[in-house]
Amino acid sequence: MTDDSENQGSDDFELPQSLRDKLKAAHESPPVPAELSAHLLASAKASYAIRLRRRRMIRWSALVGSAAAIIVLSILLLLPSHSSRQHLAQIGDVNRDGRVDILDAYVVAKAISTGAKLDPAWDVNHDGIVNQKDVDWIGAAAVNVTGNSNGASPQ
Amino acid sequence: MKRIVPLIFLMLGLLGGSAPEASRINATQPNVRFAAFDVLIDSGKTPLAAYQVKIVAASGDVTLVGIEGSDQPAFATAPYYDKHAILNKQIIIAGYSLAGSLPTGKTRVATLMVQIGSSTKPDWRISLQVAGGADGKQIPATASIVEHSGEIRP
Amino acid sequence: MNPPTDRRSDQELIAAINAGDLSAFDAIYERHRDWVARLAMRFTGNPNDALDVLQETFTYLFGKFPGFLLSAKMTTFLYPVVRNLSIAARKRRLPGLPGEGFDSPGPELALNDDDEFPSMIRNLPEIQREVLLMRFVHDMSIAEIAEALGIPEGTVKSRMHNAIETLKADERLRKYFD
Repeated sequence: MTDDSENQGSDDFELPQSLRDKLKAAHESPPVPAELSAHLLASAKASYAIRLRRRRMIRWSALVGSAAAIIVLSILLLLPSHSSRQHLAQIGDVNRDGRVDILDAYVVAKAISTGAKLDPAWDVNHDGIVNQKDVDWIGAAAVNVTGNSNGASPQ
Repeated sequence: MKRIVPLIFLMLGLLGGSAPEASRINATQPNVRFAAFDVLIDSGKTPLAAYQVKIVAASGDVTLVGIEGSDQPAFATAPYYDKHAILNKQIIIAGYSLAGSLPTGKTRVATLMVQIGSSTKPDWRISLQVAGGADGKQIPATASIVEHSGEIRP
Repeated sequence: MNPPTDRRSDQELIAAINAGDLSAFDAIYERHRDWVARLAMRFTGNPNDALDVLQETFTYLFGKFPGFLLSAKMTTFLYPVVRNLSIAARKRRLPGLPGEGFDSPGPELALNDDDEFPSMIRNLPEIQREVLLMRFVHDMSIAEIAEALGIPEGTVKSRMHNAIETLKADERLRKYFD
């Protein structure tokens, strides 16, 4: 019998109750001291509260950082370097409509799935190949509202 | 210069979206219930291949706790969304389908799982950012959001 | 031990924690504490290590909040966590042991060695023994086992079937099946 044979009939595998009891008895759970539980939970709650506060601080820091970045970006955009401006604007903007949205991801995904010619410029994650990772990168960029580049996903 | 204007709006949006979070810590939360809301896209007679919507909880004590794909096979995969926005009051979700048979008419594309912290009904604002057809071009469509009743089927 | 008092599902408790309900930490812990301890004990064979693994497991889980979303059953999520932390615990205690797997007569079933029973189970191939114990000691469903181990359900069923057949064929276990 192969290990991967798919059908062994019902998934309701039964063992005699006495054998189950024996198995369980041989695998007793060690007693968990109440102090350990209390300490663990208290630590978890305290850490959680700290993380929430830190997250709020990070958000404010991010706001300040975002504002600074926007100012820098604005200055960069006003500088007469057309090539760099175009590059910034076009990452992920596959259909060149001036924004990165799900249609850009769809165009790349469809091209991959149909075997159509893939534009090297679609290698938005710069790993040397145009594949689903680039589709997901664009999809993530399209829905990004918090500024975290790794935050989006289809799950 | 045109490109700077959206950036300024982005900055204003970020500033406006930074509600204090510490107040969320409560020892108990009475009257909490969980509900599901369906995101619907109506593309009329045109097959729907892709969509992107922005959803804002305009009022009500609402926390988004999960996002699922649709039972419509074309959009069964969970959509793209910003994981880090899951606890915020606004989120953008987007999805596409490479299925051979694309849906038309009113299509359930995703389901939002939310925790509602009071007896008030959540007030959603949904706006369609883009919808696309099989050729990847933008198509006219409308977006709506309704409480999951089990009756809506694509 | 008192029975769990919180009737909310794991998903509801997770959502509650994400929303700031600290009492849900207690409920999640109370519900899964013994399951984790039993599993850690099986993997480490040492009560002190098992308690260390228990602490590390819940610290890892609770450290994921806020923002944690669970797409599977909690036990499916916890199983590989406990397993990997147990491997690390064993390595700390016994540096010479291989890190992966528990094929060699390890700590499992180290209890009751005056009984023949442990050796009967221990003689099962590791892959069969693991699914058998996940099902009948840790009360996981076939689907949960498959997801926790990252293998198809058919493979789990096959391994389970073979494990039970092996046990049935063992003369020393005949009394249980008669």
